[in-house]
Amino acid sequence: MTSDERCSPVRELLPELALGIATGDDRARALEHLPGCPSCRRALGELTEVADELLVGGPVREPPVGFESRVVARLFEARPSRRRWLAAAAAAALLGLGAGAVYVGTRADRELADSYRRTLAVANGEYFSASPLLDPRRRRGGHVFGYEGSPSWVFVVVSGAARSGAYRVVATTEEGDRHKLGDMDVSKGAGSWGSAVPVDYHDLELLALVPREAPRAHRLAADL
Amino acid sequence: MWSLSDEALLAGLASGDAEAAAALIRRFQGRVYGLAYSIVGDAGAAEDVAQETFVRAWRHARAYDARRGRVATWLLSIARNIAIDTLRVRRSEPLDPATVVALGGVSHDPSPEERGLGAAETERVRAALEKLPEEQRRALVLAAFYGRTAREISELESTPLGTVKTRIRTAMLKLRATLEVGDDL
Repeated sequence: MTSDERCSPVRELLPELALGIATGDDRARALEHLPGCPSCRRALGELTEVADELLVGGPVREPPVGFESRVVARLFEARPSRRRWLAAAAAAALLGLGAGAVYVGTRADRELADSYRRTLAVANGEYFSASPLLDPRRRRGGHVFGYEGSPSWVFVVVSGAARSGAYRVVATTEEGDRHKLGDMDVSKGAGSWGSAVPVDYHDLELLALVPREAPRAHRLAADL
Repeated sequence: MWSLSDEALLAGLASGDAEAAAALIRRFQGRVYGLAYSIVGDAGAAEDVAQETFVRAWRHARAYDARRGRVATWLLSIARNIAIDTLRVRRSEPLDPATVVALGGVSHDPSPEERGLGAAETERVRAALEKLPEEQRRALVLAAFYGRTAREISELESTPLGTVKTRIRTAMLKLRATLEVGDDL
């Protein structure tokens, strides 16, 4: 059987496959052929694109008043807003990971988003974030940079308000589980520490630097 | 916030940024709700579908792959699937073909955002659809928007199954050519 003879019956099925309406038998026949045929796979990709584009031509109708706030309420009653995204963009810029110009403006935003995506794509990461590290009086004592990926990691930078000494780095998840991540030293108000973390960064809620000897009043913490 | 790309807003939604989420919803709510309404035919159900679309987008935003499609088509695909599921639960009887939305005749009242965002693309797709013969357009709309299989369309339209399959296939190939998506089938 020639390549054309093998492809021809499958090509007949591709439009319905792309539209998601093919029967189980037709799907099975097509899926048997597609892995070994780049040409048919490409054709299916193109028809799937057509099927998706069709929806763009669909009707437009504004929803009832208040729709947007009802959706936002649904989204954020399930999970508290953390504004991680803007922090993530800032982190990418701060870390010098190709974030590009952080300008207000469409082009700069797009470049930043594109650069951010490409940066994350290098290691299949999902996002970066940055959170201020605060002492109990809400004075800034540094930053926590986080990366959601495989593995996730954190990098802690202490500057300014921290008391010199040894600190234990402890993270708490949204479920309340505590993980001791490591130990770090702060000297003359400065120090840094980083490590992969044993849980998804996404699941962490709080990161604290707990002084090993000084009173807990010198603790620093960041809401992630 | 309005100047941000769709992808940037989706990234914001993924990370729990309320402002980005609101901007994304405002940008796409007319399309998502309009599509949902055209499929389920009821304002309350359409709002449920549209809300669920944004909730699922939020849950799955990290799985969005820009290489595989634009944010608009991704969101609308989600909306379509939820609407079709809703329709299947709500209506056991077949859809009356007479009530099927003819895309060319749908009232279109674009929001200010929509006038600036993607309106040209919408018109391009609509123009391509309107070029199709009526019977091909009906078969394609039933398949693409309502998720009807060729056999179901055959029964709804009292048309032989082979004819329906040919109509769908021909319509898809014409659209692919008109929309200039590849050239290899």
